[in-house]
Amino acid sequence: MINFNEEIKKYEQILELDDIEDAIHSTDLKDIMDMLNYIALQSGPENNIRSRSQ
Amino acid sequence: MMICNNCGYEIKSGHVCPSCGADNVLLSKAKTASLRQYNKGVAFAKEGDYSAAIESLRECILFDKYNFVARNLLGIAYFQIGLVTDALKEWIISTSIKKEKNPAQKYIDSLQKNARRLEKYNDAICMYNKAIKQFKLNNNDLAVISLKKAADINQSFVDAQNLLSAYYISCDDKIKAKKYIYRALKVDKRNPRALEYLAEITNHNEKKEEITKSKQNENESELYGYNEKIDKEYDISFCKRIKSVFKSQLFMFISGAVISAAVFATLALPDIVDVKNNQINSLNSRITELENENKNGTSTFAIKYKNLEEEVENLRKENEKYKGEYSIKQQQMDIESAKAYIENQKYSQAAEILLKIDETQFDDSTKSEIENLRNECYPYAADEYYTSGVEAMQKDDSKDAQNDFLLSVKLNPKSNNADNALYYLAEIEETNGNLEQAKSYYERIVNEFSNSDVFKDAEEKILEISKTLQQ
Repeated sequence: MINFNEEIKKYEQILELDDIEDAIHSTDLKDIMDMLNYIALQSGPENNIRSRSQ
Repeated sequence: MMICNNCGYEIKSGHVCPSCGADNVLLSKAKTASLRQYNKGVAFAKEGDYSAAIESLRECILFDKYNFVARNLLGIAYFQIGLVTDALKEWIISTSIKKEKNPAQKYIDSLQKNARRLEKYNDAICMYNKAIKQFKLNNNDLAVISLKKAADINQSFVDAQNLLSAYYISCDDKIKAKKYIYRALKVDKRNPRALEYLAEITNHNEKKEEITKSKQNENESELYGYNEKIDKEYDISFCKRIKSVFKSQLFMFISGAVISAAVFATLALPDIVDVKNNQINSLNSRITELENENKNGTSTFAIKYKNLEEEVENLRKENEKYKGEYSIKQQQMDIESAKAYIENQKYSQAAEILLKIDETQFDDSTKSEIENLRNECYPYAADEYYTSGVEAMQKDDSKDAQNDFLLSVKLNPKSNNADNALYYLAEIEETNGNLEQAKSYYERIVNEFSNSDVFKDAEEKILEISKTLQQ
């Protein structure tokens, strides 16, 4: 038998229509190249993998 | 020499672009990984396994955030499991990445056009969020009511169905739990939570054993330093990739088109139906309006018809007026002709004209002028016609004779020859077998001309004809 109090913790609030705009603005679009670039920046400027531009 | 995948610059040596600084080896690997995940996502979505599709597609955009096609499909997968707002978010981001010729714009437009439907989906999400809060506050009854509403409003809302299942399992109400599990699996074929709950209900003990076994296997694999299962999967997927390498582009295109068409049909068809219904309603109201106008005589056609009728009536009156004017002018000319004939003593021609003139159209002075002309010429004309009639009788031309005698009697019914003219007319009618008409002429002689020399003959004829008629 499942423990409902534990199970309910797995369920998260879902984005509502009014919050879409804020959600999109706050979304920081990052992919693996951005992460690698970030790591490279942390390790030294000579290893910089510059982020891509669209 | 190679071309930079990011900015198109010609890299003469190495793999890092001197213009944009992009590492082309990493970039190419990231794109390949992204494409691989996209293909997986497409395959899962095609099978109806949206949870797995979402997982793959999220990984896909993690490797390449600009892969708008993957974002579009991710939106579709979200939409299918009831996460409409997440779908919308992905499509909006997709359109910001590629503004032109992006099907995501169509999806957004379809949703925005059907605002009522979007509002309903959002209501379902709001109720679901509210239910989670209430469950956490132990207001389970209120939470279940909200959740049931959410699940009913949007039956594709997998998370709502799953949460209800979990709740009913915890209440040990397996029948209700199953109902919501099947609903979830109907939408998302291999939803992990729904399958987990199903296993919880149907085969609790077996599941426990399986979990134990799988844990043992994992431990063994760890001992031997590799994961057999992963290795097998890798081999299979590698072979499949080799086989499908030539077909992948076509497959991507076809599956993308099919999914896009399906979503477009799902989103746009209700709109089209609504538009058609509105058109039918407006046409029906127009028909009613026209019928009312027709009944009341206020329709354009009825007004036009009425105007045309009035116009025809006016024209008819105008025509009559012109006719009358023409007739008066013509008759004035006839009067002048009659005067000329009288002056030349051609009385019968003058009488013929004067007989045809309608004196009612003239004023009093003209009327009296016509009367005077008639009085002047009719007696002479009557004599002339009588003489002409006798001559015709002598020539056995009874038809001309009859016309002449009729005119003679008409022009001067009291002339000295009128009784003889009537006698001739009676004889002609008798010869023609018109005994009644003949008798009436004889009767006129008896009644109007008592001194006539044909009086007795007329009397005898009357008796004779009466007898014949009696027989």
